[in-house]
Amino acid sequence: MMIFFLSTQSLLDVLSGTENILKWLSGIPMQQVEISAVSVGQALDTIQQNANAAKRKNFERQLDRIVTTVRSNQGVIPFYEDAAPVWADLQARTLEYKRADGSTTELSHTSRMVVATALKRGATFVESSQPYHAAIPGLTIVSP
Amino acid sequence: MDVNFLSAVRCLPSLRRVPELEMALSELLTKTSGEAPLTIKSVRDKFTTVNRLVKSGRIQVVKGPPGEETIIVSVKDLAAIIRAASASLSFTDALAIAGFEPTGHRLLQSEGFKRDDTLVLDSAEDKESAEKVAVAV
Repeated sequence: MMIFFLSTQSLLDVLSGTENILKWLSGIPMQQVEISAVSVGQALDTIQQNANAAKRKNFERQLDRIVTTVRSNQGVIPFYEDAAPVWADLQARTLEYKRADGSTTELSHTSRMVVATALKRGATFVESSQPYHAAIPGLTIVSP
Repeated sequence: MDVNFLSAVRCLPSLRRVPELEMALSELLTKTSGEAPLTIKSVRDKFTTVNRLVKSGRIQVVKGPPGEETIIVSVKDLAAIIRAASASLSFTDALAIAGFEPTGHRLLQSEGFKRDDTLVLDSAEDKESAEKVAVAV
């Protein structure tokens, strides 16, 4: 069974209802979708940076519904020991990340943990096209 | 409606033999409700409560011989069960069943990479300096 592993930004895009990713996910069986527990933390961290308490509460409630849905198929994957060497290898690389505004930076430590988990799962990583994808051999990408 | 229940229902049609299907369904319903099946008397005495629970998405099981239990379910949930059993549940279908509503506000994950190996070296050097000071004292 092919596994589709959402990046943290893809998870946040599901949360907001971004058309492309929701349309794509409407053709994917629920048991084939996985996320990293690290992404759940990153998403909550991003939500907490929002100054509007009412919006924050709604973001958290809707995120919980997404996570509950993924969890119902044991699809929330912790960062296990076997992904640690993969992460260490990724840490040694220059992984360029393009922000929404077009500027570039490097992929964060925590996002590298997410990518390492996807690699270890042998999953297809779901993320919009990024420069760093080409720098990781064996990483299969789908960009809805 | 419980997403776990719907997910499990999807696997039931693969059980071709009727007694096995009935047994599996009975077990699944009992497991999902998390409670012992109701007696006819308790349903009669507390029908308002039972009806409210059913409307909130909790299927109620009424005690009976194995395979002959009665279930009380809303039309809405029955439709969800039929959908789940007859078709592969997509991720967005599952989200809708779970009550997910998109927020409409896009959040962006902040990225950035800062090597912290210098911090490790600094702290090791600090420790070394502290030990030297302690020896000197």
